[in-house]
Amino acid sequence: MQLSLDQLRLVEHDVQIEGITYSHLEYDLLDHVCCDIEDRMRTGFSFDDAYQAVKQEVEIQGLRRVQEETLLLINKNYRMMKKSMKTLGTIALAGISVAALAKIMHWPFASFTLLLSTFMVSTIFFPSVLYVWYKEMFQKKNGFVVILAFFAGFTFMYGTLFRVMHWPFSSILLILGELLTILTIIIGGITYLLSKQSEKYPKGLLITGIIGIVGFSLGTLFKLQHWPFASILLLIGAILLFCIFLPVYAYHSYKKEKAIKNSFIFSIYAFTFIITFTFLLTIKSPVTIFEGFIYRNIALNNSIAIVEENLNEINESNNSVGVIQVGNKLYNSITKIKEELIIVAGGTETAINQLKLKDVNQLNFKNINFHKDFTINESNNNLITVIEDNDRASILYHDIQEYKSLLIKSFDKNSISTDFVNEVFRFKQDNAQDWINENFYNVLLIASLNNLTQLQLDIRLTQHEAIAGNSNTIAEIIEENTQK
Amino acid sequence: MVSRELLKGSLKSIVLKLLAEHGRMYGYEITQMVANLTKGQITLTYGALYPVLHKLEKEGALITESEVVNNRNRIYYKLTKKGTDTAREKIKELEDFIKTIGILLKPDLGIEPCS
Repeated sequence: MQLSLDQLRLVEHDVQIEGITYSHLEYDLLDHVCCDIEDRMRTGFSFDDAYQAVKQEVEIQGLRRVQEETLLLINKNYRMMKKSMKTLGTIALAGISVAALAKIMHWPFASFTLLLSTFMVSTIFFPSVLYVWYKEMFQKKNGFVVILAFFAGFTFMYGTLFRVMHWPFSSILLILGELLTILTIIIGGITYLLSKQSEKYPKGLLITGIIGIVGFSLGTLFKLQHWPFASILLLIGAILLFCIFLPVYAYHSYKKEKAIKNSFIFSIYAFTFIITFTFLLTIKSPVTIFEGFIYRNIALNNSIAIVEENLNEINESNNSVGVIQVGNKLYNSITKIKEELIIVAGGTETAINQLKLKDVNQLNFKNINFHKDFTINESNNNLITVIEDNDRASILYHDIQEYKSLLIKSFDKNSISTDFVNEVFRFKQDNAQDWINENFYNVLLIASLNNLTQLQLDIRLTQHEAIAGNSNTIAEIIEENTQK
Repeated sequence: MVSRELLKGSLKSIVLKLLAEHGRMYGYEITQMVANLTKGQITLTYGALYPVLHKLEKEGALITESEVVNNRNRIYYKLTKKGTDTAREKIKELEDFIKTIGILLKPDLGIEPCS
């Protein structure tokens, strides 16, 4: 009894899609399966029954395991890789978990643990995974994909590490990592499509999956970098991946296997991981929250402009020269503080007076630097500012108090203006430290900036009050309005 | 049926022994011969046989010849000169092992022999 050519082609096809690449193992296994079928046919079974029986007994899918076992037995490197993969993978995972916990709890060794485990994952675990993957999945000619995947993963891991550690170049590394990953997916996907193994699934499904992943990754990259069309890319990617590819793939696997295999569970797990990770990276403080700050900033700046215009029209009276000088000095010193805060947060000087949404976003994503006067508290969010003790904030506080007393002195006995100044510079807090904490400690950078701009407006208003002289002072206008 | 655990260590010797006696053989032939000789007590699975064959080939104990039979490639395995020596060693080793185990399982030691 001998298999017909058609029957042989069928078996051959089934064996080939398992992708046995080691030496002449595929020939061994094909011949073995064929002999087995022929033997059974000799005892009276039809080809279909015999083939079904063989499939049941050895499982065609089990052929990959044969290769794996062969590799395990023969290749010392492979054996060591697999072993070290298991051990190091577990250790590194534990390390990263501990690092994450330590980071949240502000324990001292967080950075060290993170560094160590990232190093382990990137230089030992990840290459072993790729090596094993390469040995099991690919023919030699596809080594390029593996090398590409290595660089992609490597850059991406260090990009993430750099970002977490607030080191420079994290954006470049992340962009590079993302681009290389996308390239790997495209080239790897095409290679897979061209290989025999891909025949397990409909071509259209695989193409949908690949386009979906590429779209989704590109979307993430665009979103992170605030490039246009990010949402559209993410949407297309997500729909292709989660609404088309995943259900059809699940249905297909289920129909084919009638049982849930590990590989299926693994792929679901991998999907979940990718999605969670991507969204964690993408989520930033919603833009709408910032809008409120921006509008207030614009309003404050407009008010300042109006008051300044008025100030220029009024002739200075002699007794207010000191007030103008001190006030201007104070005003400029606040501008300087604002400048430095923005620069420390990584923004550009152009953003200082008219903050725009795009500037805020830019600040939001810039790296943290440390400065002798200002530090940006990195614990929760890089928008948080701290002005340290014995520093500009307390100097600012005292300058304001000085300016205030100067003003009151200049008003002589005008009680309305004195009340006005007291009202304007009445701090809720009695001592300097509380005032500093309230305005600058653990406060969003843009909130701090607004507080400073508010102070500048207050200075301009009180200057106006002091030199108004014969014309109506602001305090009088307010007085009139309240009386009405 | 002989348990897998017991078979594992001696599989190499069995394969070498068969090849030493029969010249060149292909994979399926080996499994069939083992099954026939042991009256089905020992069946070699794919997962057990091919890793061993490939390892022996890699070690230089076996060489392969490819031949087209019934439109498909059949890989024949054959002992090399080095393999013949290995076979002799391994078979001796297995025989010694069985003897030693035999001593351990002798009735006069007070252990019931396995039936």
